[in-house]
Amino acid sequence: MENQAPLPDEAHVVVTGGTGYLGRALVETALARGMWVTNLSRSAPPDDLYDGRFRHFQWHMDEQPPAPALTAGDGFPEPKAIIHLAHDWTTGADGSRRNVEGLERIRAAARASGIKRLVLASSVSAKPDALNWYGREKYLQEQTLTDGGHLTARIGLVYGGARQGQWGTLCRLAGLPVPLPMVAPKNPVQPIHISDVADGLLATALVPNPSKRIFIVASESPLAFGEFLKAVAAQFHGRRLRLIPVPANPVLALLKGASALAGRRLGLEERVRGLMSIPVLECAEDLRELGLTPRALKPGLLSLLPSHDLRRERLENAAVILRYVRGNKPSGEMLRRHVRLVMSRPDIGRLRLPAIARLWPGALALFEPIRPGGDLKKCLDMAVRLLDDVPDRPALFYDQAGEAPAPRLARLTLLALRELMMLPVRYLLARQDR
Amino acid sequence: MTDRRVIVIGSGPAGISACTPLAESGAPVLWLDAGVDMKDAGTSKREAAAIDAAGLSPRLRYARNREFWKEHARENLISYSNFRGVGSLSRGGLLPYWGAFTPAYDDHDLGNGPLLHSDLLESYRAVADRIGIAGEASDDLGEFLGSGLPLQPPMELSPKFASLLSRYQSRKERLGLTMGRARVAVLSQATGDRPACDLRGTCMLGCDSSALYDGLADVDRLCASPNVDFRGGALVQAIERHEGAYRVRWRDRVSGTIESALASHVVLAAGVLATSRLALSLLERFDEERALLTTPAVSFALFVPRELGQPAEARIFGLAQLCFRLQIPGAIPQKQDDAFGILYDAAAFPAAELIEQIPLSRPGAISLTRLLASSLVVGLLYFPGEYSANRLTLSGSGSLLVNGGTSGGFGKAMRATIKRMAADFRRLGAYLLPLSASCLEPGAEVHYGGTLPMGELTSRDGELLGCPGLHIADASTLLRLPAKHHTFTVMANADRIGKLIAKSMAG
Repeated sequence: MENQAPLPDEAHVVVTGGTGYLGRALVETALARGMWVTNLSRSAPPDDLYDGRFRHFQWHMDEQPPAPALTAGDGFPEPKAIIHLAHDWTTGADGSRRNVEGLERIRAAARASGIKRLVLASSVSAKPDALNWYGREKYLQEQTLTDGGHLTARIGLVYGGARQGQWGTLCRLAGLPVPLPMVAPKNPVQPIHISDVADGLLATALVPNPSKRIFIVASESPLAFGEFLKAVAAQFHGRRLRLIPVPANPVLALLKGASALAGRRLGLEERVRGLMSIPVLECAEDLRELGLTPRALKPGLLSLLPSHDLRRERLENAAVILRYVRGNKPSGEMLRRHVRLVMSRPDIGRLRLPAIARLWPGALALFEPIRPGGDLKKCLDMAVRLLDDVPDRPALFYDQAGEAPAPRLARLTLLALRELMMLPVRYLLARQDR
Repeated sequence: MTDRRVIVIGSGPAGISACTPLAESGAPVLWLDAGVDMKDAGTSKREAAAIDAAGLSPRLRYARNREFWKEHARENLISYSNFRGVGSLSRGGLLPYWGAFTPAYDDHDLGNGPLLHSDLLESYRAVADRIGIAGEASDDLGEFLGSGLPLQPPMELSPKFASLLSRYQSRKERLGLTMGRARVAVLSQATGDRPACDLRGTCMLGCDSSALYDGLADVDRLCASPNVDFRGGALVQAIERHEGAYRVRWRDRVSGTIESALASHVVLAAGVLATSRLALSLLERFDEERALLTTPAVSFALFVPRELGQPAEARIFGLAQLCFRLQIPGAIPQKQDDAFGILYDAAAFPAAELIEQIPLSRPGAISLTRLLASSLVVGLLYFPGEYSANRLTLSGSGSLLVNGGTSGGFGKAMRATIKRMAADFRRLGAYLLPLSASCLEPGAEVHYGGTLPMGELTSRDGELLGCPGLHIADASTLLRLPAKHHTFTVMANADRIGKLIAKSMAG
């Protein structure tokens, strides 16, 4: 989706941790905008991955950042901002210290090089009493940013991009063909597409007169974590996910025990704790100030799919739907128009038609929902409108001839009987897939 | 010395009607309108309707290019809660999409002053002459819809309406409702440059013949006036006072540049929502909840068994053919106003509009529509603005928040009125289809008004409080919104204001 605030094309931003999950998306987005990017991280990206306006300097969080990275040179203009994504995943007091000190080194280096804007990539879970280390570390880091030009971006639940880290885990979980036990499925989360996060970080780095120090970069409309997983299953995997809610505290107790045995906090325990402590943060004003309009979840998830796969699925659906509505085989042109219409509606997700309907489209009548709304109904309505889109009034919809009242009444009675018989079946079978 | 000229903001019914006398008088006019030339969206009208806009009038759904009303809220910094706000950023405002129903208001409709019917009569006549209205002056609703106006003969009735009306004539003593011919801004007889309506029946998709008034020809004609400087794509963002005059700031939607101009007079006719935001910002009335009037509406369908099996008519008028007024049972004294309904021939509707509403299987719904459409009537019943309870607030950051709602007594009044209406129609041989009476979302009927009422924030001539020379010409200044449509009244009032300003500039 287009974001509104026009950003200067030629800006040079310095990114730390640009080879990580979020970092890669950020670097790609910045370069696509025509920006200059200097990356500081332990490992270098593959040589031929980026061209032209990218340069890499090796840097480890417990070293001083190399001065040439933060200045103009090699054709790179003066850096406008530093975006700090690098994070040490050691948990406990050690990890906190490393991350705080790493940030401090970056801050000092920025001051020395005259870079006025520093953006810390933080999280909505950042709070002093967060249940997970990550939340607490981020909070401590945030507290050290006292300079005027030093901002924090608290990021919501990120999806999309490379299948690694938290997104990788969630994506895999949502794709499991078995019912999934899940802790805290009703806890609200604010999912945001990784490209929107990248745009949000760049906007925070370049917004001219920020009205605050902490910006929330998350979706405005929270939804239950369980619903999020189900949406990932439905839209990304094309599957229906069943969740088995599991009480959080016993699970946490178990994991704590396991961590004690292992001698360190297990990643799984961190994750579960993280899930249990995410607050919902108001962010409408922040998004407006940053000029950010995050895409909605459904279209955001669909955009992760290869478009020709989605198109093929929709073409197959169109064949069934148009056949069902029209009563005979639709033309290729009609199919393509239907797919085009469906693609143009971001509120319509993936549709899994019942297997029997693929063999016998008429059977779709039994699966039509009675209540309005839902993706199937929308696709059916589109088919009706398309079929009416011919110069003359088609006989399917318009009765030009007329007939005597008696036979008409007979026809109507038969219709009513047929539909009445289908009603109970439809009521049972109809699935609301909003 | 500031520029002695008029800036007119908005090219909808109010803007056009104010601009017409100003253009004629030779006064220098800068006409700002937010519409840009609509790029061809490449979709057919029916495809456009398939894309979205559920719950809105079919006329809006069939607009080929959705930009004009999708962007309106964003560009004007308006956000809605429980309110289906509709605005237009295109030339002609909402006129290209209106239902063209044009009754006049009497003194009671106007709130019994400061503005009175006698103040508007001359303008009502001038506007009726300009746009062309077909209707019946001498039937039971002739006076209610406005007398003393130049009218063309009413549009031909479909057979089902002709028989409905004749049954009404013979049974009216036993009925609570009063029925008459619709009053529509369409030509039943050709004038110099516009043809008469040829009853092709595709009104919902937009009139291709220009028999239906849509304002666009008027806009073109006015732009051609030597003293009118028209700027399209100009989205007005603010109006400020500047040394006894006004500075109007706008953003060019194409280039993105911010421009401004000075004028001694301003006519603000950007539509109630945008106008209210601009006016309240100028007055610095932040964080004040103000009432926004709407006319809560209910759509319904009637089955006329007598017509069962009739073939579809070749010639059919697709907009309202008949209308009726009906007392609201148990109406409390200050809400003594009647409900008002208009009736359409379902056979003129695109079939998909009806099919979509029927909860049968698609093939079943398609068959049902095909078999029944010729014996169906679609109606819209409006309730007076006193039953609405919408609130509008200008926030400190300059954005407008609209909260929709209806009054506490509305639900009960609506059900009672529908019941009474159904009983009356039964006596006429028309039967309310079960489950068909459905309330529109607040705002979906697109009758808005009353945010800057005359006598409180504006004068009788629409002059904003403490802002001489700045006139609000749209429905924002109306004191009441009765169940009758208000656009014709807004046009007449805008014409009156335009003439007033022209006179004061000449004198």
